[in-house]
Amino acid sequence: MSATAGQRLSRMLALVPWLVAHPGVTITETARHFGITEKELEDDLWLVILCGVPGYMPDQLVDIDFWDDGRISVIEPLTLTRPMRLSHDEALTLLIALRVMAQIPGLDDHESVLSCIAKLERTIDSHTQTDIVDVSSTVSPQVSALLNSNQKSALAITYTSGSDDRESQRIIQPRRTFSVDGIVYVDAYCYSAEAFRTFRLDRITDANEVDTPHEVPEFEQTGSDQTSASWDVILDLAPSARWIVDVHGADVLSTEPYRVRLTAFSQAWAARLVMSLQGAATVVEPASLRAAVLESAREARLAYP
Amino acid sequence: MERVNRTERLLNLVIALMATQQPMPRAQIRQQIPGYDGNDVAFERKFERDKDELRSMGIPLHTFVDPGGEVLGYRILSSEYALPDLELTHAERAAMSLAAHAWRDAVAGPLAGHALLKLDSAMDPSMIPDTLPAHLTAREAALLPLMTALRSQRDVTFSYQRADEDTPTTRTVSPWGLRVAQGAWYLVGFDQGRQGMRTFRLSRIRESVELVGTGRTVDPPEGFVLGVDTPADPVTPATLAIVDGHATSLRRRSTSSVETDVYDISSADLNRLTIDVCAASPGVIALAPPELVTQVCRALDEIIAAHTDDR
Repeated sequence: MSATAGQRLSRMLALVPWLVAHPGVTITETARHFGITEKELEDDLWLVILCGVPGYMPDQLVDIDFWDDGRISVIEPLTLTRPMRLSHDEALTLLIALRVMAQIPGLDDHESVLSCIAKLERTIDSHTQTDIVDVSSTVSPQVSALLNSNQKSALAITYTSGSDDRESQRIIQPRRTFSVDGIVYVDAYCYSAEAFRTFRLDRITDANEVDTPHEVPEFEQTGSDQTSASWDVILDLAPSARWIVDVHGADVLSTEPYRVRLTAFSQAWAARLVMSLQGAATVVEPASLRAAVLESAREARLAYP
Repeated sequence: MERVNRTERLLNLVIALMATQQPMPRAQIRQQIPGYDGNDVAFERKFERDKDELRSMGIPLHTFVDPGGEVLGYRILSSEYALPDLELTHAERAAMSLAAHAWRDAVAGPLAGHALLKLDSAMDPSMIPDTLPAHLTAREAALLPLMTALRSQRDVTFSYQRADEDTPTTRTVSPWGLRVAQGAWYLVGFDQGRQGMRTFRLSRIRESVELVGTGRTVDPPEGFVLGVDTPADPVTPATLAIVDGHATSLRRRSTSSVETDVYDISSADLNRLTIDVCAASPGVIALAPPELVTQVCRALDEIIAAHTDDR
């Protein structure tokens, strides 16, 4: 019950100053702006006009007119003329998101993002820390600069595939950059694949502007990592390998043995993952992956005494 | 006895404490503000609860005390309470709105949405693009209490399930910072049970995070910067043979190429390097140091044993 009273109070403390700033706004618009029903809004308004300064005579109460023509006018807001300052956590959530946005190269309105950060930081007490959250990304400065300078031009990129750690040369036409949980991506038309692809910026190791986007150079086939085909891989995991359940979003099928199913988009990727787990993961299915892992390990072992 | 709604009592308290020129004494609050009727015990309980509620919302409610330690009264200073006018431009309001919407699927969504209302930057929902420039999806309930703990510099305790252990363990941690990296959220802090800096993945924190004690037991070391690995571990040189076209990320780390396809790299963590070499095998062969070669051989033997059919 107390959480509800607090939340409602908090809404009303925001509501009155907002109405002061928007004289004549309608009940419908206001309810939508605050994400509540018109009934809830009217209940809030009825409660607000019962409140005021001690004495509580008619001229000591908040006065709001909201019964004519569906519009709201604040006649006497008393002390409720300005919204409450942002709490530290409110300011921090906005700052985190703005800092993430500031790291996206080629974002439309980079300047406004930076000025928002500066203005928000000014509202926070100087003694409270804002450096308690780190959102640093690992995009190369060269790639950032190119996407910032002119997002319209085509780029020749060197891209390291996440699935088999091999490089490919591609020509892409960037369309949109975005970030998901701190990982920055670019949606682009890939002339090399003749289709739209999404690339992780931190895997673009080299980039240069090119004038003739229609000239498609020869490129090495890098496997099927970018196709949408996927298949299930079933693995048995020893304790030291169970972290992959979180990282790769695997489903746990049983705990004895600890058997999981995960979705793979390429055999090369799945084989690398299993090899990196150094025997703590055993491929149950598919048989082709099991055979490929065994063959890679045997071949590699021949190089050692 | 007339029942006064708690929200109404709180709102009247806020308005009265902002309007008063002098700190308002307890007796006057009890007498004048509707909803504080009842006996002494009931009043004390309600008033303490209300003060806590207002302060937890971030309202700067001050207690004024005379030199003898006697409480004179309470007051909210408008200058501290009010959000200064940030004079946001139209474009800045749009940026604030997109920043708040980045959290729309996350636990901090309501917090960001409320901030947006205060800043009067909420955009019409139809103006918000489906594809946001930034998206933060943290659904971990631990995020909000950890933000509070970091702000107030308090220790926390929680149940942590390591991926490689069967049962969770209880950790008591002095929090130093939060990181979002590679799509996941992490807490960095000093683990008191293990007496060292540790990183915790928020998705592995089980149940709730509790704030404990009154302060932070261990502060970050001088010069600590979140996101920079400290302290630097001693670096071991290693040599790898890499087949052309393979293991690009390893080759890019090399400091020199002694001859074709042979690369020198330095690694602060041989176990990490073993993982990278195994992942890229047979495209990479470890040549030195001997510990690395031994570890890779052992790992390959394990992989072979795990995949050899003896059924």
